Amino acid sequence: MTTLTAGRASAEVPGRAHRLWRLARRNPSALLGGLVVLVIVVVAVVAVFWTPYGPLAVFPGQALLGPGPHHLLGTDQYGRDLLSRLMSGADPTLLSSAGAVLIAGGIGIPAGLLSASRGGMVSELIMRLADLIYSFPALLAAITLVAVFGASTITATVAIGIASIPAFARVTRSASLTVLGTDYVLAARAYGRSPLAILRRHVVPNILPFIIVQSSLLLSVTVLAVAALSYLGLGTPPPAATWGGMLENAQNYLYQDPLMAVWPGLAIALCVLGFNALGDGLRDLLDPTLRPRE
Amino acid sequence: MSRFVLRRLVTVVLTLWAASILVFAVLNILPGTPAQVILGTQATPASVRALTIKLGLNQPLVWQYLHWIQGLVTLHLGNSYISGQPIAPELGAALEVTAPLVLLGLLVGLLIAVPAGILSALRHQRTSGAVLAAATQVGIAIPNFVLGILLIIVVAVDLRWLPASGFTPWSTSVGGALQSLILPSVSLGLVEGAILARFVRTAVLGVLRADFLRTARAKGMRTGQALIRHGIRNAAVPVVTVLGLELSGLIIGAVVIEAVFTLPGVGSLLLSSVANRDLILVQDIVMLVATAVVVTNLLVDILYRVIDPRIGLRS
Amino acid sequence: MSLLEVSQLRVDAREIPVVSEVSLTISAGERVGLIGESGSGKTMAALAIMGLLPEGLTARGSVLLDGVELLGLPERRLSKLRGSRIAMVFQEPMTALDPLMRVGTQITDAIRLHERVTRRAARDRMLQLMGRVGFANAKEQARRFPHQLSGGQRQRIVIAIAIACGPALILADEPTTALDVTVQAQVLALLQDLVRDQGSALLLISHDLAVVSSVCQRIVVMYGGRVVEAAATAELLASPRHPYTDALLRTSQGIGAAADTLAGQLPTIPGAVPQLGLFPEGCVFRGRCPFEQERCQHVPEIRGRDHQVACWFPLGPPTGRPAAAPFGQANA
Repeated sequence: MTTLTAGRASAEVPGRAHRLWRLARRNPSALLGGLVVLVIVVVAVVAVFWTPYGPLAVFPGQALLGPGPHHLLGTDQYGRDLLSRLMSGADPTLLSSAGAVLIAGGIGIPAGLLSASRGGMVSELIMRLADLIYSFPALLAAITLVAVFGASTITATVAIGIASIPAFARVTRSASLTVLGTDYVLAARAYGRSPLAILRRHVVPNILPFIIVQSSLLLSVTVLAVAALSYLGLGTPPPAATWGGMLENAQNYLYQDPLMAVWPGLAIALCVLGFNALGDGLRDLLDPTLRPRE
Repeated sequence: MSRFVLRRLVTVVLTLWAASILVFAVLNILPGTPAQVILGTQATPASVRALTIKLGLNQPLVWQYLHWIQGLVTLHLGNSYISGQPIAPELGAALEVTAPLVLLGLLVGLLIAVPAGILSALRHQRTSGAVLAAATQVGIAIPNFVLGILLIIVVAVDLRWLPASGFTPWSTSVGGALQSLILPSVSLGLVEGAILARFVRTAVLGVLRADFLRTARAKGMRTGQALIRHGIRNAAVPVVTVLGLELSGLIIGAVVIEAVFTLPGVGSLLLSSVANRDLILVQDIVMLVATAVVVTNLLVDILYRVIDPRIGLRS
Repeated sequence: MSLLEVSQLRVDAREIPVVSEVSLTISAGERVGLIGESGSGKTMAALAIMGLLPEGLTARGSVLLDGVELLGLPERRLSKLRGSRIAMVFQEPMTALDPLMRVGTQITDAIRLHERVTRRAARDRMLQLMGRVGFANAKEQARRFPHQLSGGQRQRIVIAIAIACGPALILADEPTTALDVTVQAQVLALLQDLVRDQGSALLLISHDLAVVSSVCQRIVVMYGGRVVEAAATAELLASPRHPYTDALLRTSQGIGAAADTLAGQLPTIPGAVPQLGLFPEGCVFRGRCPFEQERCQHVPEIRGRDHQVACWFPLGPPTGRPAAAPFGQANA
């Protein structure tokens, strides 16, 4: 079947739009996820410069309005515009989750590389440490750190980042071990290329796809953790707008204005879905062998 | 068998020991003495010193650590810094809420994942299978606390079928307790169930294409018979391997779900002790949760080896 | 009446034909070899006969076993025949057995599926079967899991499952290909003995001419999903008539010859087997055939009675019969 599609494809020179369409048909998950992520990122960037109202601006006379022409999504109990708060809530969410993934990758990837290339005691020690961290799920680690340092964006980011180190270390290690076992690495070793050069020239480029996929999948996890923390009041402190915080606040008004809880919930779910679908889709695109066969 | 279990037990003890040092270290690098924190900035130096001595906080850190570990091992958890109440009974009462919640969540998860996964695998070329697969994909993206609030809106606020929050103690009414756990365990289990369903689907798809299933049919089994006799066990192997991860997710998810439904469980206790800076209680609960995660993974690991003779319990 | 009568069998993967117009008869107790390169459709033909085609593949035509049409037979009735009248030995002993079930149980299952016997009797039969396929210590080996056995031992188990209920016909799909060379001969000899003892018929599928010719009385050659030649073993080896069979014979003889003269070139068939669905129209061997003519753009019908060939320009001296004269359809 592959030969047939390939045969057909070579018969015509596809335009860019056509190529994108084909890609989308082959992998709707990646495209959908990418689009959702793109929209959220754009909203987050726009929200830095412009929101319909100030996210913290209070209009006492306009409390708990439903969706309407002036406030598209309505207002909260202080009359704050929900759309503006929803938009500016994208910032801490994305920054915090991306920060956590950077911390996790910054430590986890070198640790995984080291463990794969050195072997022996070093490798054993690193993987045991990963196991140790693994027994503290992200949320538990975050709650512990908050107990000591108090709730803040940075505490939440660092805690989730540290808890996510093993996820990177393990993927990096197993992917690197695969590359290090290949014949071309053996050949490179045979003609005397240094271990560091082998890592740089052969291992890193080859494990990059895995790391990209893992980053995207991990982002969906950290978004969830960040939202959960701010819902529990352990993340970015109020009055700054966070999706979790908005949800927590809305829960007090479920009987008066249930829609108020729906918006931030939807935003969190979409964001998680976006990164998750993007990661899944990228995995399929970058490595067809990982795809569950249909 | 016993040798593998013994080896894994040693690893578990070592991991927990390292974890206890980590938790103790993190919770004791707080600037300012705990006594000062507990009594507030208005307290006189004398009263702070008195409390410090009373709590044993003037002793060296190593002594404090060993004292804490001794308490953990012997289940004499000491008293709360804040309320002065003994911790053990309080934690026990909280466990009466959290343990059933996690187990019910697991039950809900399995009840969703197994049929949904099998069905979407068997019908993977039909629309119904694709719809199911898409539904699980969406289910994964909905955080349990968001789902919890949505369920409250629909079931408690609109339909008024179930209470929106709170917990009827088991001693008052078993039915009432179960009733107050329905929505929380559904919110908890639904998401884990969606994640698990995808693994079930992949596992069943793998089994459907397995050569041994063809052998079974070649010797005269009908497809259904072959699936029951050979398929279930083989599909269970990869599913069991992720069960440990799922259970960790359920345990930590319970912390958040308890906050959503204001259930007096371990999670709520943890959050209130964080808010009160009741560090000894935080320390105990974090260790308890970490222990639950590690032990759960051990159990799943053993189960996995019992099912699959290829791995064996000796290695 | 023949035991198995396949006529005009066609297997499609979506729109792509994998097997076309395959006709083939096997009498009771007869040993027939089905030979061809990988991708020639021989495995799919066998799976179609068993009714075990993978999802997405469909079979048309006719497969008669004891005069009963198997194609389109409901699973309930088909499953009664599988294992009892017709059985199959698969290529990959590594994956053909359930890794989580003791091998003895997998044999016992085969017995209990078709015969109402007590658990104990089935167990005794199983141990007997294991003895017959060459396990010296059957009692202990029956408790093993597949991964604890060697490839050859596993294939013996698969064979034991196949012969458990004394089927009239055994399809063996490359039963020795996945095994070590030293074990291949043993397993092949075992299969041959068992078939002879039981009086079963055998369809031995292989890409190895040497294997097939040592076991089978008759050989059917497949290429590109079609039968290109069929004849008694000695006849086929002595005077192949299809250019493909001829080339196949040369390559397998050539290995011995090349070993003698170190500088000798290994004879090969020019070109490569086209990918599925990309076989030329007309004669499937067109493009690799040295004797290609314009007429080969049309599919040659298979002709002949005892020695059948599907070629417009068959090779060699006519084997006792005039070759030029048009013969009727070959599956009479």
